[in-house]
Amino acid sequence: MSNRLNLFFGPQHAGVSGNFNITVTLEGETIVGARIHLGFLHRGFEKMLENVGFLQGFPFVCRINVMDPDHNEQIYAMAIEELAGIEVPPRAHYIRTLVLEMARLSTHLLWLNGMAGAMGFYTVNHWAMLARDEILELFSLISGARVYHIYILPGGVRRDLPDGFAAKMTAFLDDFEQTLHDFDVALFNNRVFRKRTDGVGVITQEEALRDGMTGANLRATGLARDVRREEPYAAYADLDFEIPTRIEGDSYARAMVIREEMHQSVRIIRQVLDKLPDGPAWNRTPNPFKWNIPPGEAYVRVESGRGELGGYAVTDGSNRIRRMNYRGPSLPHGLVVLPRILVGMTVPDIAHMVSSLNISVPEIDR
Amino acid sequence: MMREQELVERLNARFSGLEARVQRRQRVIVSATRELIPSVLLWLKEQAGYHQLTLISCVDWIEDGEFELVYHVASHASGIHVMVKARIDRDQPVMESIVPIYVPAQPYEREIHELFGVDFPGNPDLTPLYLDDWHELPPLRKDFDTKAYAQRTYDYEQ
Repeated sequence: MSNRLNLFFGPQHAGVSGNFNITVTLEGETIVGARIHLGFLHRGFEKMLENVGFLQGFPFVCRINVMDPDHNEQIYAMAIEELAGIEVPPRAHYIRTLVLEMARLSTHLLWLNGMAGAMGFYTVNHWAMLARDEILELFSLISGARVYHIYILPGGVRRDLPDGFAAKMTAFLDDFEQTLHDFDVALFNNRVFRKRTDGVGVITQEEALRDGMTGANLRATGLARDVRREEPYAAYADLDFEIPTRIEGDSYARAMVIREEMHQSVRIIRQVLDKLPDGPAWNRTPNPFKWNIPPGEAYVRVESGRGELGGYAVTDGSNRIRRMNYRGPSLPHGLVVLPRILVGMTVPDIAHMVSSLNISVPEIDR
Repeated sequence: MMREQELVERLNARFSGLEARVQRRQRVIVSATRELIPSVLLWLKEQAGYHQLTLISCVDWIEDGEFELVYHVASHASGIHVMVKARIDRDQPVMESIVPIYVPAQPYEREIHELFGVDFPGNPDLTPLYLDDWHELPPLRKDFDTKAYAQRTYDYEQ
């Protein structure tokens, strides 16, 4: 066909959604085909993990997903704990839950920043960034670092919470609940946002299951599936929270599921601070230089901000991991769902869809 | 552990030549031959409700001269995660594609093809996913030496 045009979209897009290239084939205004090109962020982490000791792997794994690093640490720690038979003290389980929910809030806020930015709501964009920055400051109180914390270790967490942390966290949460209300007024209930998202990018539950979707994208099609409920890890079994769902399966439903999840995260963090048990925060692990883990295999999974994050770990009795394969929720979202759903849309929808499906490119590229 | 045990018994009764066992709560491991993989996965999907293909992993067992392919499937109804494993020859790594059974298998097989060099006849697109102009060994094979490659490729001084 002579009236077809190939358009290269990315890899440098102004939003946080960039870092991969989409070649879209256009017929007039309409997209008739899309192809994803990766590799701009490939760092070969899975290979590097095979060349370093078990504890040395932590600075690598948190960088697998730039937006949501703590869930990757949790996966790696859980895999090593299962293979080496290490117990985690109850206090560490609660502190991990706190950190993971803070990570969920911060990744959801980054999503909000991208989503609002992709549609021109630059005020909300900056509010989200500001709230996230406050969470990063709280992270630096806990771990000494803002983005990559390397805080969760096999057997617990690297150190206990600092004095006076609960008061600072509570002050942030009180403030943040007001901010959530502001988001509602400025974005989620805004008629422009509704018109832009209602009925756009509809995915049925059948399609979602067929394409291997998880997380908020699946819950927006009406299925209340969440690893925190299906296979509780950390302290989630003791905590009271809801799994928000919507039935429409469109861009608005996905946005509202994430918005409601932020509210649930606030609830979870408050409960963690209330119930935090006493005791040690870390069970000592063997000397990392002489640490051999017996042969075995384990698949562990958590509910990251984007969906089911899994890790398949194989050990062979040496002091190196034989294979650590990460399963990121963004791979099926980005490589299976996105090219399919873009067909029939127009160019301005591309940034919207990348944000709406909450695709994390570093997680696919690894 | 009831549902796990029941699934294992159904699998062992339905197929000969495979060994299914309960690894722990919510985990079942099935060791099969490479010829059995598509029919086991089709049975799990159609007869047992394992609709989600979570991941396909490949492990290089260079000392045995084999690759191990691990198909991870999960069921929402039972909450069980099943790992179906098969070993293939490392020198002639070929495995039938399961894209007709599970749609998300396409990028996973494409990834394994690039990083381990396993061929998946039946997969519509096995072009490289991450690496441009790669002429070395597939990088996740155990005989690929990362350090030597880095020294050869980049300016490196002690």
